[in-house]
Amino acid sequence: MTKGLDMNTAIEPAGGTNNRRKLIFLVVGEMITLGIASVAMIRFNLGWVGAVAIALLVAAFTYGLFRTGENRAKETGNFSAAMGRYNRRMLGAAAIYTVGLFGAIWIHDALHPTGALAFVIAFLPSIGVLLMVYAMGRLVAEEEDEYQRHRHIRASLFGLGTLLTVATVWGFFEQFDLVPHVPAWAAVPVFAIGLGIANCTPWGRP
Amino acid sequence: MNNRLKVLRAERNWSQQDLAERLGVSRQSINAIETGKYDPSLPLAFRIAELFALAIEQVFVSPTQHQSKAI
Repeated sequence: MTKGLDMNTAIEPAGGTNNRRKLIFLVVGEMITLGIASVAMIRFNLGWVGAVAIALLVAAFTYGLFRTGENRAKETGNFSAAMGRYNRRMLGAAAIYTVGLFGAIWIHDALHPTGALAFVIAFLPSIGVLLMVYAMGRLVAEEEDEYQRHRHIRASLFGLGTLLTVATVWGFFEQFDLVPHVPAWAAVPVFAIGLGIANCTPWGRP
Repeated sequence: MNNRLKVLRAERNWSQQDLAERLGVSRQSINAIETGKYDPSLPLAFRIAELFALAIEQVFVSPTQHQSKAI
C-alpha cells in the first residue's frame, strides 16, 4: 500500500494550490494596479505624491509576492535556507534602491550638485541594484540543494542570453535610428525579465 | 539517466517528500531525478544508493548499458 500517496509525481498540498492562486492573483494585480497608477500619474500629473504612492504599492505587492512564494515553496517541500536569505536580501536591496533613487532625484533637482559630488549622488540608485546582483550571486554560492543550484545557474544563463540578445539587436536598431535610446541601467531589468521567463517556463528547467 | 528510484521508493511506501527529507534535498530534486530530467552528482548518487543499501549500479542504469540493450 502507498498510504494514498501519489508515487508517480509531486504531491500538491491544498495550501500549495491556494498559494499558487494567490501568487497569480498578486502578479496580475500588481500589473493592473501599476498600469492604472502609471496612467493616473501621467493624466493627473500627481508628481511626488503619486511617485511615492506607486513606490509604496510596488513595495506592498513585492513583499506579498515574496511571502507567498516562500510559503508555497515551504508547503511543496522546495524551500531552502539559501532561498530565504535571498528573498530577504532582495527585499532589503529593493528598499535601498527605492530610497537611493528618490533620494538621488530629489538631491539632483534641489541642490544641483556638480563635480565629484554629482557622481556620488548619481551612484546612489546603483547601490540597491548592485546589492540585488550580490544577492543573486550569493544564492548560487549558498544553495546546498544541487538541483536547485543547477536551476538557478540555468535560469541565470537564460537571463544573460536574453540580455545579450536584446542589447545586441536593440543596439543596432538604435545605431540606424530606428528605435529610441535606452539607458545602460536597463541591463539589470532585462536580465531579470529573462530570469523570470526561465523560472516560469520549461526553458529554465533541466 | 534511467533509474529505479520510483520502484525502490514504492517498495518502502515513501513519498517523494519522505525520500527528499531522508536525503536532505528538495522534493523537486527527487522528482527531477526520478523522471530522468536531472542526473545527480556522484556524491548524491552514492548517498541515494547507500540509503537503499544498494550498489550505485543497482539504482542507476548506466547510459551505455541502456544503449547496448536497446541495440
